[in-house]
Amino acid sequence: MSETTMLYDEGWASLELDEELYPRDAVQGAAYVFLDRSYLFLERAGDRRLRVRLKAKTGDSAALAGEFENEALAQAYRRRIATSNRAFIESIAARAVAGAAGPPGLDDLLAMDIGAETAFDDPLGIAMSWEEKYIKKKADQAAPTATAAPGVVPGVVPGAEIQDAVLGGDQVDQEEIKPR
Amino acid sequence: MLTGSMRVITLGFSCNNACVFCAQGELRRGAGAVVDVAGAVEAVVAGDTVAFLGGEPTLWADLPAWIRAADGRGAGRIIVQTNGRRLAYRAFAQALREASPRLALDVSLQGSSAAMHDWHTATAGSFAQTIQGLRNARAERLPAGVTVVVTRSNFRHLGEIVVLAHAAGASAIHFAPVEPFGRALRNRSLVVPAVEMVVPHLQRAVAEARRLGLQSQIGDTAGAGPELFAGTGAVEPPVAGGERLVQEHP
Repeated sequence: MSETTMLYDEGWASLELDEELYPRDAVQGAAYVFLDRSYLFLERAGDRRLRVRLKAKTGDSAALAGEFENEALAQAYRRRIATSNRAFIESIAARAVAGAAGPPGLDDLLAMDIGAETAFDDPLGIAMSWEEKYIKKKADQAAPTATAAPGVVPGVVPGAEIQDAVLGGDQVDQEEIKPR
Repeated sequence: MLTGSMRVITLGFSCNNACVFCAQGELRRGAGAVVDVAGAVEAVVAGDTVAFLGGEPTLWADLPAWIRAADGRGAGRIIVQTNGRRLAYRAFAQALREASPRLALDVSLQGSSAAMHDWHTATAGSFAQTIQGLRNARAERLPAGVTVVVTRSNFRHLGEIVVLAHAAGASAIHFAPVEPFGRALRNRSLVVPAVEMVVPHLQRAVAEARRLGLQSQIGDTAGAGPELFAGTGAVEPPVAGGERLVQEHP
């Protein structure tokens, strides 16, 4: 049975809710919102069914029960949004916490191990110019020269493209840099 | 204090960062211009301070050999102005150290966090590599100073940058104003801070440096002396009517 049932008995309103529509967390969240205005009991009413009994501290319990149902719906919807955005929210929170943590201490620095075996190996691609690394696609389209010094990308004129990239203020993907 | 003159050798303008405040701007067009480094080194007189500037000098595989040659000419101090990223490879730091006992590094650090530094350099991961480079320099007993270009995005964190530079092994810190050329000029609204807002943060940062035993230098004024800092290299010619972005630096 998926519908909600409501009963009234001596000032108490009783709601039976389908857990498919009103997850338990949502019902508990709604109950928390109503703690100051009513007396509440939550209990299991059967398989995948929750029963909420509430009595208004002042006023009409029936009206309050209707409001409770609305709040439970809102809580269920919020919960669904939070679940679908969880990864995004966690990512933002992690960045905020990392940013607020301030500069790394010596232990953190010691933990940053990059390492390399020889002086001129460059597995991280550090020893190439910014243009060579991030505007590689344009370089591939240009004719190579035999005597290029480090960082010289034949045919690439870093100017406005770099400025745009810099103003973007984030990691620059070569796909984002469009020729003018 | 060294007695010889400062001899600047600019190794082109190729760089592995693309800093938002870069004064060299369109000079990067000539990134691969042939530089007669050997000839410049030949002109070194005993006692000179030789500064290798870029671009980014460490992109050149011949850098250790040029340092060795300058050392052989009797240079009193050799400074490499670098972003320090390539020194993240310990073996490269070792190669530089072996090139000359008179070598020192002037390392640019633009933030106290990866987000702050990497925004300035437009290069993800550059902060971790620069910090690792400083650590490796310390491990190799290469003296290093840190240069911070004071911008709108880092002036509130100068004290933290001092602490970080100290923790990473720097022995001096240089607070440089944004030079009014190149990309800095074009991005002025993004990068140039109001001097009156900078002053209190700068004062605190200098006090913090003093507390930690770091020498500090503001702008081009004397302070730490020339031993660790190479000063400003070549800049893009200013546009007609261009004005100085930071008229007075505290």
